[in-house]
Amino acid sequence: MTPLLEVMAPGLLSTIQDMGRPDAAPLGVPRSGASDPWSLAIANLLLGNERDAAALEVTVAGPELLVLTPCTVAVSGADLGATDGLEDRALTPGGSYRLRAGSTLLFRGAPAGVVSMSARSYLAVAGGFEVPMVLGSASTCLAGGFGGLEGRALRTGDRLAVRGVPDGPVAGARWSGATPMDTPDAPIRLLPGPHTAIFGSTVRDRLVTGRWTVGAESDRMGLRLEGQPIPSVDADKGTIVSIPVTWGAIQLPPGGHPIVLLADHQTVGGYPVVAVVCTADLGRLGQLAPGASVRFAWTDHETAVAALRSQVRAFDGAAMLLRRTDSWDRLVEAAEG
Amino acid sequence: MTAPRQTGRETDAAIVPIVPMGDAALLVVLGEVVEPTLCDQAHELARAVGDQRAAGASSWGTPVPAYASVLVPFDPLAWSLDEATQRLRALIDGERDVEPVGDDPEGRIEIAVRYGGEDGPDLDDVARRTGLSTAEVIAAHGSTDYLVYFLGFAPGFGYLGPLPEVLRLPRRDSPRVRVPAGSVAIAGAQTAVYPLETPGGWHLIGRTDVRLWDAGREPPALLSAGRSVRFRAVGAGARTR
Repeated sequence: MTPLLEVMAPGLLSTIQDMGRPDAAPLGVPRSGASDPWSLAIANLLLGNERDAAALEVTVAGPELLVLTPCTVAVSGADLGATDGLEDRALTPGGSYRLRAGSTLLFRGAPAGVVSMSARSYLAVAGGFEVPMVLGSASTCLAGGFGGLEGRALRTGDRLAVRGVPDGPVAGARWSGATPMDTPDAPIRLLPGPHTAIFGSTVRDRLVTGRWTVGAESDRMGLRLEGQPIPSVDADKGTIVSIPVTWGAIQLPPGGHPIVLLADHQTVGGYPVVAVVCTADLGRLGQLAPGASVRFAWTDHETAVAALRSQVRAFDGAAMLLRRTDSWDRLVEAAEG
Repeated sequence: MTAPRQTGRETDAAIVPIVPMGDAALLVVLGEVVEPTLCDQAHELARAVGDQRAAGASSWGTPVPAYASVLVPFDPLAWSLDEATQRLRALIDGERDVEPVGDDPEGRIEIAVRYGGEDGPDLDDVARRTGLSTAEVIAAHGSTDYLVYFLGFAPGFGYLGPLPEVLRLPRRDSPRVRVPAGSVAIAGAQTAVYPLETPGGWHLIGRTDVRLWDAGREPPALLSAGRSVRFRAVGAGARTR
């Protein structure tokens, strides 16, 4: 276990996340894990890590980290101005970089004058961060106060350690595939939920014609959407016997402002579920920043699964390409070295 | 032990609705009410899916039961919606012997509670609204064994019931932003202990030192579906912290 990074400033909400603990839901445990799992996988693949290795999820305004040991890191997801402070070098998302001891790694936030629609960046280190596995995952469970680093977001003075050799892989890998940040304006695709039918066409129409904005109280549990509220139908449809709910489920509370559930969502809910975001769009959903506008469009099961299938294929293709390039680089390096 | 009760399926399996919850999960709706028999069926179905998953030859995820429904995740790249639905339907049809989850072979869990005062800030209000004395509220709450219907809402949070009729009140008008860990609460036909500090809208009548959740413990949750729970009043002097 090598201490690798020391937290000089924690940022808005920086947490250790992997792919979460979906198997713990029967214990009432939120799944947790990366809000944008595609970007987490990209950061890990750039380093030759397992796709689900634990990385740092950085939110909107990022942390400042002192590099204690030479290491190779990868940055992915939203462009939150990641910078190698020693060399004043931009660490653009979708790349791997070598950092020297004594450098600072900082996330300066979105470039000046740019209102970022994407909220989350991922920082992976070669080998993955070393934190205890709890219920099968390294993810931080903020509600339960366990997992990740002591069950909480980073604080000044924390030290992050790494598993294995932090400077093994060569730097300079670039992700050539698609990312959830590529199509910020495309609508998020919806499937009907268990209660869509009983609400009738008004709710169905208003969800997709409404101009929704991600509210400021949104967090890792859910996006609170602001906009023209959807008129509540019969009051007795407003609450139901609690049912288990999923990531991407859209609840409609009596006030008429939809809540879209994210990775930290509670396992059960008592509000009607009027739509569910398709799996292919969960990464884009998890990137939506407070203040971002969001549009929805209805789709059907076959179209949603076809979108997921082609997304997975393209992703695997880009990952293969990365491995080939990586081994090529290693050969060149070996020949030159 | 809880009273024996009817455990067979009263509903015809052929009409149990199975509806998609997104493209990667199905929701089986066994009913729309809080009723121990429905909850038994939900757990039985979750067990059946879990068994098939453990056997390895399936694309199910971990099923999540609640009061009267079960969420069953599946891999949509492996199974079509029809295929997943039919497989689940076959499991529902094949399910015959519903074990009553209420018969607790491990014996009931006793939870010592300090009622009222700082520990139960809503006790007086509950007494006023139910027309009982605080002593009667405490006696009623401790008068019966509660069934753990399922865990949800927060890590280790068990939905317990049924609450004696005389104690049933709607939730508070405005939820508290912070409910202390260990708070014992009631709402509607339910009672519960908050395992962790969370927001909450139930009436807080007492508090316990028993740890409902400890991520470092195995198992981390004190409660599990089907166990029975009894609350016992202790004086403030019995504090063990």
